[in-house]
Amino acid sequence: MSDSIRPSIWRIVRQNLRRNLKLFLLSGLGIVIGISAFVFFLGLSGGVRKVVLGDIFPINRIEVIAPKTTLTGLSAPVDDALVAKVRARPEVAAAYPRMRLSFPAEGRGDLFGAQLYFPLGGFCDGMDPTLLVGDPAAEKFKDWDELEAGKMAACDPAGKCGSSDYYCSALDNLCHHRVPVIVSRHMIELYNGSFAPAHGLKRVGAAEEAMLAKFMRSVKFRIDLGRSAVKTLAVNLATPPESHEAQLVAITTKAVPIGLTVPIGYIRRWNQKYLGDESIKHYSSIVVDLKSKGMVADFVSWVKATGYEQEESYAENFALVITIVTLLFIVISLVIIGMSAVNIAHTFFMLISDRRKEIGILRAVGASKADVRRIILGEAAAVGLGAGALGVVLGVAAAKTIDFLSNRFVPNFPFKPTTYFLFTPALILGALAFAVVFCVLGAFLPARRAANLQPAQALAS
Amino acid sequence: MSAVEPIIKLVDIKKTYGQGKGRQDVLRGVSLDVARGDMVALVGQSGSGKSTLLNIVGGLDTADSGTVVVDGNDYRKLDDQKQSRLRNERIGFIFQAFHLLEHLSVLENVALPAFFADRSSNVNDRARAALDRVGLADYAERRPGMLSGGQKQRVAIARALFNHPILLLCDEPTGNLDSETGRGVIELFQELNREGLTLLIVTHEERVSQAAKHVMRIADGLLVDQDSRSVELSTPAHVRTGT
Repeated sequence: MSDSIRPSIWRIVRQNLRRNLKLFLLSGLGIVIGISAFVFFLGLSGGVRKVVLGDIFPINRIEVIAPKTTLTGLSAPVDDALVAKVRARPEVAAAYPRMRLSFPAEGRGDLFGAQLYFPLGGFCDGMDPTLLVGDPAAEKFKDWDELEAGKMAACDPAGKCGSSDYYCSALDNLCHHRVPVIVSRHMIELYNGSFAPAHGLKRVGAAEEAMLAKFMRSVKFRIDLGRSAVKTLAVNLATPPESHEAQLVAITTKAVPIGLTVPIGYIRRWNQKYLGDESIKHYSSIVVDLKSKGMVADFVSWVKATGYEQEESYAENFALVITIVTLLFIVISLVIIGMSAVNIAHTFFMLISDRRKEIGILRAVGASKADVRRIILGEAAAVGLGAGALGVVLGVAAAKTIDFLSNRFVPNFPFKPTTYFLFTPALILGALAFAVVFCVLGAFLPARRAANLQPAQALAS
Repeated sequence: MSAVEPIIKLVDIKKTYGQGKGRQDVLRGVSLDVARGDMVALVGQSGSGKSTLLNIVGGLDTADSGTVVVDGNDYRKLDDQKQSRLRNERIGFIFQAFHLLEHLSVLENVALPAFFADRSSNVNDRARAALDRVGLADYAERRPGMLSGGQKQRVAIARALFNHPILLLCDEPTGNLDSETGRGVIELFQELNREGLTLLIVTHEERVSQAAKHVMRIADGLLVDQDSRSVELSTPAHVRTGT
């Protein structure tokens, strides 16, 4: 070791750590426990927040609607002018007008061998196709009837169109691209939780969902406009029923939670055809993605000031609950770490008492007070870093164990995640920084005492 | 006072320990000059204040009042950083109890001042050269615990010489050594002094004071006597008793 001495204070720190390893391990134990709890709870909070506020109730997504009740009975329209105003707001990242299918319709299709029949009137929404920008499914989620690629030649004599993405329409005997449909995960959970058990159908589990994702476009169904299971319709439709073929292109959080979502052009044309021109002047709502969740309050204030409302969302309530629980966990972790810092302080006071003579020697050969402080604080920082790293490893290991046990033994439940935890680099670095800072704080007074030792007295001890 | 500025200049140094009934006036106004290249033995009974005086000269202790100037540096004007640098670069210490760090090798102990120097080059070579100077080149990798008392003291001397100081402050350097080993250390001191190093040695051993160029005696916190063998002085009192 002495063959090539590279003198630095850190070499002394290293040597001191080595010879006091056992003591430092014991005194760092509290930091290990505190940091592992800190990482575990914050990781859990991040994971739960991601699922609840990312998948179930996206917190930075707000839906602007016309007021449900007004004094005059008249309400401000949700129209293109409002869409333009919303898009001009500084808080807004994107805004998508939403138009609901407002007349009776029904869907028929096949899912894993089961024939499904479901009402669509009021449960099918049109959204701007730019909604899926950046998503692989964006290639398919288009208003094909408005695109050249969506129009093909006449059907062949057998009534086929060559590609399974196209179907032969009985309306004009031309090949049309299937209507692209996206659904939210809520629909899978709704199907699994209510529909499938009530009808004795197989649940869509992880395997089925994976298969569904792989063969998404094989999920095809028919949309019958102007038809309904309701025998006595209150609406009087002048237009005769017609059928369109559709295919599933994505399961995504961007779809409206309940029902099917299709490009808005289809809904606009269908509403116009069955309900007239008035029906397409207004949207049912505007779905707004904000630039950050911190902008929610400002934007909602503006919405209310403009005379509109925010569609009821549980996101804020859940966010509040998660924040409170997270804060509680953080406080518990910090109390543990704080107590450990006191323990670190005791350890260093003891060490300094043991090392008085040594400190005197260092001062005699030229160590300044600042050098002595640096040595003590350097040791504390190293203990913090080591204990923090160990705490992070333990916290992550505990999380992985829980994920493993959950995936292995806990039955599926709505929105069951593959992991309950989210460990970001910021969390890991923050935890390490906490450990170092608390240890250094713990050693601060001992370091000051060591630095202020009178060298002559220290040598005489 | 000689035309050359003294390497150590103390003016009216006072030092008290404790308060009230436990108050002890260790130094009661000591003034002295030590010329460059001198070898001075500071003698006196236990508790006379000689070690305290040495520590004050070395900056290991502070005087309650008075002026300490070492190598032209007035301690009142030096902050801790500058005083530490002065100790590191210009002053070497040798103690009765050796004060080596047991967890470091002999070579690392010798090179210890380099850990706090602003710039350190050839640390290894310089540490080995210092060890060679005290005849312990072969002991570089050993731990202090494996050495005899005499060898430990020579390691401490090597450490003190590592940065080529101009002043060596020694506190009972032969106090823990047998006569044979002690004689070797004294001879080494004389050799270093001949090379120009200034030595201030606190001792109660006659053989050490006899080896010094002159002797100062301290009693009850005052300098009371000086040896007639002292070098020629330019001032009436090279050593002045306190006022």
